[in-house]
Amino acid sequence: MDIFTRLIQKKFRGIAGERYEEVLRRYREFLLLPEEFVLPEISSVLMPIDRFSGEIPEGVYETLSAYPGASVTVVYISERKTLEIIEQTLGREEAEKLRKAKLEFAKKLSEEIASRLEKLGLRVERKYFIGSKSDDVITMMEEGDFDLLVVSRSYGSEVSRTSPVSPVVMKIVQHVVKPAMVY
Amino acid sequence: MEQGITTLVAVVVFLGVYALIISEKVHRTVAALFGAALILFIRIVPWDKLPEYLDLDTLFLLIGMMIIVNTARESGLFEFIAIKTAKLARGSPMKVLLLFSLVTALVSSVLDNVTTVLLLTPMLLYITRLMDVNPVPFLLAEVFASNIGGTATLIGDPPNIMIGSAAGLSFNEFLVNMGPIAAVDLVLSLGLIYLIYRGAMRVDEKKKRSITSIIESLREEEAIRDHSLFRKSVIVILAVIGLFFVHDKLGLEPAVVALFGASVLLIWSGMEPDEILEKVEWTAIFFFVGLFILVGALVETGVINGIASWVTGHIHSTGEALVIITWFSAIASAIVDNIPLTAAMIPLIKAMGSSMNIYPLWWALSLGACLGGNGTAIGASANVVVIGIAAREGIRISFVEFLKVGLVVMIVTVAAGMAILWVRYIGV
Repeated sequence: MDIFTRLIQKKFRGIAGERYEEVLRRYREFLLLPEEFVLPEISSVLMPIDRFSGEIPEGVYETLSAYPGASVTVVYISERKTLEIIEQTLGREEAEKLRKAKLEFAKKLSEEIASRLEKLGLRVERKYFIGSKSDDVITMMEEGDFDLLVVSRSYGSEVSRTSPVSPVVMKIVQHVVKPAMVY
Repeated sequence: MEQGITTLVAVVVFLGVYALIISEKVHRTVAALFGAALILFIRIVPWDKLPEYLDLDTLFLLIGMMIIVNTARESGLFEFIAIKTAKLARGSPMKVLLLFSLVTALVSSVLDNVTTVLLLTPMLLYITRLMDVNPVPFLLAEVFASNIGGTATLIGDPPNIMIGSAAGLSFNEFLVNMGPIAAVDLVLSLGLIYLIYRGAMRVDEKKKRSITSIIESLREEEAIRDHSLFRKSVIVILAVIGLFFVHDKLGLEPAVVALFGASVLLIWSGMEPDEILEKVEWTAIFFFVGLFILVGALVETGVINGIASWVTGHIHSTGEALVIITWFSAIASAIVDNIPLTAAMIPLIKAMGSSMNIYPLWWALSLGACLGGNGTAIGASANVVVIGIAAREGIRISFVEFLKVGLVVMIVTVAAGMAILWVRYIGV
């Protein structure tokens, strides 16, 4: 570093002190660089839902609308262990009733979400099966051709004061390598 | 102590402190306070005469404005202004140059130059990166605009605060005398920048459209961190500026207006006083305290009167003094700190008052002390801040590169300002 640069840096520290770092930090909160404006290539999205997921915020639809033509797989997984426990305690008939009720709910919820997504120009595929809410999502993300995971922080169980993100979602995002959006 | 020795000590201490400040070996505040302590220790300035030399108008005006600026800064006001300016420019390099220079000059005319450039430069650099153009002309224009804007008002630059306080000049007098000069000089400096760097001002239409869409996606509302504080800051700043316009009619010192505004904002905002007061630049305030004592020693020992007698013996008219003070203060300010220079020149001009009309000389001093800083990279704090930020972002502006443009801008703007003062006070 030449004498002039050293002098300027010394004087700059004397005049501006820590203030510049603070100013930069604040600007970085809302100024994006040109390269950050480039939207990542997203052609396939996995969207697991359940009765805990709640209503999907408008912001999520807005974000997904940036990828017209992309396919979204809306998947509803009924937890196998829960059904097994119910079968063991209340019997096969009750378990079957619950499975049917869940299927009905899954269809209704998927329909609602799908119609919103289709209006945004996205192709939607609906899936319903019995399995593990965490392991199956992880497997689908690993083996499927998905570029993005969109999941509610309440997926798998209701959030509590002590845990703002459900344990199921925590497990999923810890294992999934691809980009994930937790709303 | 004998008078001769006392005088010699006062001069040696003053020059020694000046040398320390120039050498950058010791922080300027430490140097000034050490010199002042020495002066008080050997009683060159007696303790009971200290209040006479400490210019409380200047000190309290600076403190008041620093409190207002630092409180307003917390709200995100400056970032909001920066984004608004960027949006208005719509990706056109010429508009970016003009609008950022104009906004910098306007903000610098009422708030301090360092804060202004510190908060606007990151946004300016961001836009030049988007435009993919050479950022140097834009940064230089911002530096010159800040120094020129500061010249326009009583509160724009510390030398003006000191001059206004010492000569009892009002906010409106500054605006009437220095405002037109600042306006002409801003146009001239922008014209010079355009002439020198016109090749860097081109961006094709396609790029302009993409820049505009990126800039348009920025939300200035997001820059506001505290909406309530934002509103209160804007109201207080506008009220304080309004009061400055009538402070002389109300018989209020500018310092009282600034302190009143600062205290109202502190009460109204409900912010912790510790949080705000710790951001007041106390090192700058103590630098002024030290300087006032050092210059007081020169007055007390008769050094200033001696120089004034010598000067008035060689300068026979206000016109001659106007030219000499303008250029001496401009050249000196380009090389050394303009605050000690102004502090030393004020009693000198006062002492010349017995033999000539010194009213135009205050404006000559303001012109030279404020605009001289444009001459070199280290001539003013705003220059150092902008060059420092640029260096941190990987943009090098060398001493010579700045000098080539800065010197031309300084000579042209000072000459134009002097010509305006000459026509107004000396006649054609």
